Amino acid sequence: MFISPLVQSLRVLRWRKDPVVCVAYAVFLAIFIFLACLPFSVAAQTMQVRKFHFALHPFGSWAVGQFIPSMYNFHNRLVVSYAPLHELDAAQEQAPRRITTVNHYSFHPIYFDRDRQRLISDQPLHLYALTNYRGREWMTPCVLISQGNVIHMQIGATDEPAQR
Amino acid sequence: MSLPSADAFAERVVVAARIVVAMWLVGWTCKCVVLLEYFFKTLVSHPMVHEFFPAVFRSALVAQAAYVLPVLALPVFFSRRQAWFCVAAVVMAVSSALLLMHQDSASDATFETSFWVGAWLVWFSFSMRRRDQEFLTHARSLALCVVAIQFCGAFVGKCTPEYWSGQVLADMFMEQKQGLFASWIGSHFDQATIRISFQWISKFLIVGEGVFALAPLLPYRLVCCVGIPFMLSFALFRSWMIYSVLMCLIGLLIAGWWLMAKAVADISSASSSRKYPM
Repeated sequence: MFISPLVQSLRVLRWRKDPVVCVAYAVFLAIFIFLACLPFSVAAQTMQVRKFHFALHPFGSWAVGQFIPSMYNFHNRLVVSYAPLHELDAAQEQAPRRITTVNHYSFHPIYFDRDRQRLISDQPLHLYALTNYRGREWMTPCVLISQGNVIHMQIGATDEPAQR
Repeated sequence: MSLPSADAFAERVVVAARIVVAMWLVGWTCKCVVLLEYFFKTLVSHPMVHEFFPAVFRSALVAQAAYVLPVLALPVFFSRRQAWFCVAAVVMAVSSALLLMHQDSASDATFETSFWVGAWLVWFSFSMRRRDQEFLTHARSLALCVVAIQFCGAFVGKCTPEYWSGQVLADMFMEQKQGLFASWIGSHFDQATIRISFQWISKFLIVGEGVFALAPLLPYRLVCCVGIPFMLSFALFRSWMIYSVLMCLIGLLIAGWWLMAKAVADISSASSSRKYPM
């Protein structure tokens, strides 16, 4: 009869002999429970999206969240504009807008880009991280301001999820 | 049933650890040309400042040191001393953790999978002197748990109509055409055909990830025989750089298979010795 590797391990697991293994299984179980709740819990989804948008405060919470596997999650897009989105209708020609579908973190193209020179600009660059998941959309605004070759990134608060 | 000799057991464990370290380093360095330029040139010439991160996790020096520190893992291939394996494991886990929390590298999944494999190796290396069968049983099960949580995380994040329909993957493929295969596809098929193909590729990917999220409950050989080619196939639809994320997981599976195969061989050998005593 087939016995799965996990069951084989649990059968011989003893706290006194393998406390570290016991703790490891507890950590794995906690992560599995969190991930299993993700499709159903708006709070968990918002937490993961804020992690993706670097908008989960305080830093310690975000750092802990980094260790929760989320390989290429959600439908992420990055909107790049030279004017805030709410001003675009009035300034369409002066504010070219580019929307990119991103695998993994929404701001990934900004960080992991060897050609950061293209981010250097006399005027602020407005970025919007958009994430869609199961009928909801979250948006986090960001402004890049260049001072010489240094790029300052100011990420705002993530909007509450909007139904799509 | 006779236990295998202490030397055979130790040899088995050392080889398994070396497999994990080797594949981890392959994944860590497979995009070193890109990352070395990024860490040592881009971060210095155009630093990004995001106040959300503490100063230590904005420092280019910290990122540079964390990326090259795993060179300290190399002695495991020349020495069998447990101390070197422990140093390698700790360095691997700490470097991954630092880069996972660093401003300029947090958005790369490489460091997340590398951390979990490094953490497994920390436990394994510090327990290497054990000679009981339970050690190997736990090692294999924990390896499958590491693989499973990666794919569980990947799976739940794709439980959406946009992914299931292939729209997201097709959009990424169109916008970010990478790799020789992707370029070939782009030049030989029109957009409509590509989008229809991605309807099925997406389903294949999501179902596969869902199955491997259950890895600890499946036969080990099945997970290896199907899971490793599944992971290797990712490069068909993305660039080869995806291997920076997956190589460490592949190494972990191979190491567990090695432990299991050698255990079966040792049992067979012990059984033969009883039947045909010298």
